[in-house]
Amino acid sequence: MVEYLQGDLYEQFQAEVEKRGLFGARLWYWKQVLNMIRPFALKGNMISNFISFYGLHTRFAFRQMKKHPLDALMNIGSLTLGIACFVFISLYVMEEFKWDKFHPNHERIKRVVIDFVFQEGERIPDATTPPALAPALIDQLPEVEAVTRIFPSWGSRYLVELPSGKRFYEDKLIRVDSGFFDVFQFPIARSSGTNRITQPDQAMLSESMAKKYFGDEEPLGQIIQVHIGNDTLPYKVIAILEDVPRYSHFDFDIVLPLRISHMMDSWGWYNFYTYVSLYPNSSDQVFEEKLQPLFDSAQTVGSNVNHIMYSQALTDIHLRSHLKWELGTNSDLRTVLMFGSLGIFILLISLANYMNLALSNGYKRHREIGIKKILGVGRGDLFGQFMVETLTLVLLSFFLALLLSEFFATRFRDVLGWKIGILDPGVFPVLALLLILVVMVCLLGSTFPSVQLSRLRVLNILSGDLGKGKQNIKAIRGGLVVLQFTLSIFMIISALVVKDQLDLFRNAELGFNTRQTLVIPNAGSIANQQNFIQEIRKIPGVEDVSRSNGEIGKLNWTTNIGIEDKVLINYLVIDPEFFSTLEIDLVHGEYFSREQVTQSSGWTLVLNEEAFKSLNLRVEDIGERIPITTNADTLVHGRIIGVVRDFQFTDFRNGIKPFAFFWREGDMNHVNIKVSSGDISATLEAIEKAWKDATAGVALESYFLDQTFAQLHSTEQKLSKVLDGLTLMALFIAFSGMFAMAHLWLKARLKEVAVRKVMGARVVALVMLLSKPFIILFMLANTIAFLGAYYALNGWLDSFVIRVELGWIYFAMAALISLLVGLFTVGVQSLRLATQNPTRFLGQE
Amino acid sequence: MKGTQLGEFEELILLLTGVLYPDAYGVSIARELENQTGRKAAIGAIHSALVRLEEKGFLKSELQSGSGKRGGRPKKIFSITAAGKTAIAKSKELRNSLWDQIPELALKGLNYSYVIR
Repeated sequence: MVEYLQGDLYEQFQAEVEKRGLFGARLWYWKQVLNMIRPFALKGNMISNFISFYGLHTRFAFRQMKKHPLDALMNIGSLTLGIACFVFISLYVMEEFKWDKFHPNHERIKRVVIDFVFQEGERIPDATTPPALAPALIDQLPEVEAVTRIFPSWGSRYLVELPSGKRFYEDKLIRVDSGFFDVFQFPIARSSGTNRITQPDQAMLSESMAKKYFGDEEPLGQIIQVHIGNDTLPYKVIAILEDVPRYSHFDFDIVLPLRISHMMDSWGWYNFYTYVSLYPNSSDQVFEEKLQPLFDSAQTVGSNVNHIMYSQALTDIHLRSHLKWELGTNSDLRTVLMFGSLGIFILLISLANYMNLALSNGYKRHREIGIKKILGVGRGDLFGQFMVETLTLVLLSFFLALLLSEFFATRFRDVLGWKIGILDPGVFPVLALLLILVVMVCLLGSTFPSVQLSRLRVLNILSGDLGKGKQNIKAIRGGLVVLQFTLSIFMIISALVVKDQLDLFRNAELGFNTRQTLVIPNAGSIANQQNFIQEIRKIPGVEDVSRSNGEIGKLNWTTNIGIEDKVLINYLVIDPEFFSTLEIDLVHGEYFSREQVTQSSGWTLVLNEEAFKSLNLRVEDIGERIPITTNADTLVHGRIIGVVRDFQFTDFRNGIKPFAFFWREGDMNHVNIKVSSGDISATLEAIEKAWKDATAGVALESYFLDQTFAQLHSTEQKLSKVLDGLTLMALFIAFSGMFAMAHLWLKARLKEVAVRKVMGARVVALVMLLSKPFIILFMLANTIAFLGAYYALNGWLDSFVIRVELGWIYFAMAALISLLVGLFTVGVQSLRLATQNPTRFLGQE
Repeated sequence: MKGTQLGEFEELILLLTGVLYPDAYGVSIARELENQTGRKAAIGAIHSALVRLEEKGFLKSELQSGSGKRGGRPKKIFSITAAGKTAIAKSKELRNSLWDQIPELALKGLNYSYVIR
């Protein structure tokens, strides 16, 4: 039938080519072919056979499952879990690669950044650039289409006042050049004509900010007052942006124009982020090569600046950029890859599991196959039967796995902050590929025995003499078990090490008290700060109060200190009570005190030990005026009055860095309160009341300092949680595979055991004998896993300064856990077998 | 008698098969259908009807070896069976008889201008 239909189509096709041209005719052809899908085309003999044949096979498949419910459950269960874990992790990996791609021109956007290079060869990669860079880029480099500078809030909170009189503190506020919307294409929800900020008094708000400020009122055209520095300036809302997509490496709610001042020509003020978009046909390479010369030519003659300027692709920032002063928290490619490989591990374990079970099941059914062959079922049909059985099972588990992974994804969406689900369009090809892979592997496993068996003579099959094939299979199955357990043991070791490393972080001595320190971050706007401090001090639960212009653990300002060898030092401006509030210990010299006069020229400072060391100072220098830095060719002296113990103020990937404290009299934007551990809620209430009194009713925002430090290693915290879950999952799958295999393995040795028992073997000896092959496999798996884990984990731990040692205890623990699990599965079953009455098995046949 | 009713499209195809005798096959029928009635039908639709008609016993078919024009593929040539002939004859008779029964007035009534005057 197909033949003459093709003939008809072919003939008509020639006519259509003349009428519609080749392309049109091809389209027509496709339409006609699809049109053939009608009942008459399916009525042919071959096809109806096909349908009934496969219909029968599916029935066989379900019968098989019913007959061996435990096997079926294990098969479907482990395959479902494996696929679900893999899909879940794939979702996460895909999510991580989605960042910043919503800008249509994302491939052409670059960020220009600088590595600070100091005389001693130290190199500090930094994301910030001076304000004069952007105009120079667009003037001098023909590749640059648009450029913008971004000035973020730098941790401060701006007071925003609405026409209604309501006031808010906002920190997600950025100030940008008019080129911002030429470089980036953040989606705009509504605007009053223009989509760019061109005037110095224009502002844009995000949709949720507009909602928060104006509710159902029309936000466009409203005037908001923003306190910047010492000024209060009016801004007119000209457009409403859609909320910044989650997949953006920086986030903001309010956009204001930059104020242009003489400072904007500075090449030494590293406070801006510079982004460019290149012309579509320009070469990245050429652009890159021109950056360094441009930077060098801008430096004043004779200045000794060796900084290195280069650019990053926008889409690389989220995963690959770990500079100082990133605009937001970036992910780490290593973490993503680590999870990706875990997903692949689990998929492998479950596939190995499936293959293992399928191989042994196939041989178990040798009688069925023998009978079928006698009845005249051909090899192709046998093959087909196994194929349909597998497909039924695999498709069922795949479907269940999709449901399960979507369930995981929605369950953990909030915890992990993901947005992706299995219905995302980008996910589909991955799922399709996965389905093909899984089906292929499973088919391989389940059809292999049928092919092997159907090659043998019927008599042999029936009598259970399965020839060499079975020996080969044993080796393959052994290999699969080793693979499963290697991967599981590897995961156990990783989970243990990651957990210990995290505990180390949690309990690490930071060098100051985080648990009792309450921080009020936006105290800068209180009218009478001195009064407020006095009020707080009177509260009974408050042990100490101090002020600072920032907080340890968040972004701090940096400056260069040192004559000849400059050292980049993080610093805070504080008042004398700061040290006692945070319990920072003194090593040499003395703390600041109220009696000291703060010099207006020259500095008085307290260093940490690391800074003291980096500056090559001696204990005798303490208290002396020493040259610190040059300012317009005059030497600036500073007096170092004390050295405090080192403390950890960055995440644990970095070590302890130099730090300096200055004291200036005056208001500061952070108030730090040491709260006694007694009745904390009463103390907090009292503090809130004092705050409300001082600010005329503004809501209090405050947090304990340990929250800041919890955020510093939140990535690792999440990683550990997910890793624990995945390890359990892997262990469970491997365990179930082991269980099923031991079951089959022992069944094959029923008679042997019975004979041995009759001959007088003891139960203990029998259990040993039966468990021996497994123990050998275990040893092999452990050895391989140890090597792999040692290299992989050492690499991961090397990225931390404070790290656990990779001791033998982890390996021993993992080996013990896996051995216990294995012995339990094999031991229990062999014990049962060994204690049975031997006549039961000998009587068979 | 169930299964021997002729659908409108089936009847057309049956008639065209007769018209084209002895060279009635998928493509020629499709072409003639378009020429005579202006209707376009997919090859699949034509074959669907042909197979149905063959099952009802109104058509018989034979495979003829193909020409180069068809890429060497065979042709399925259809011709009307005795039962097919009876079926179209019956259908024609039925229509004629129904036609004759329409009262003169009903037809006249269709003439718009006549009524107005």
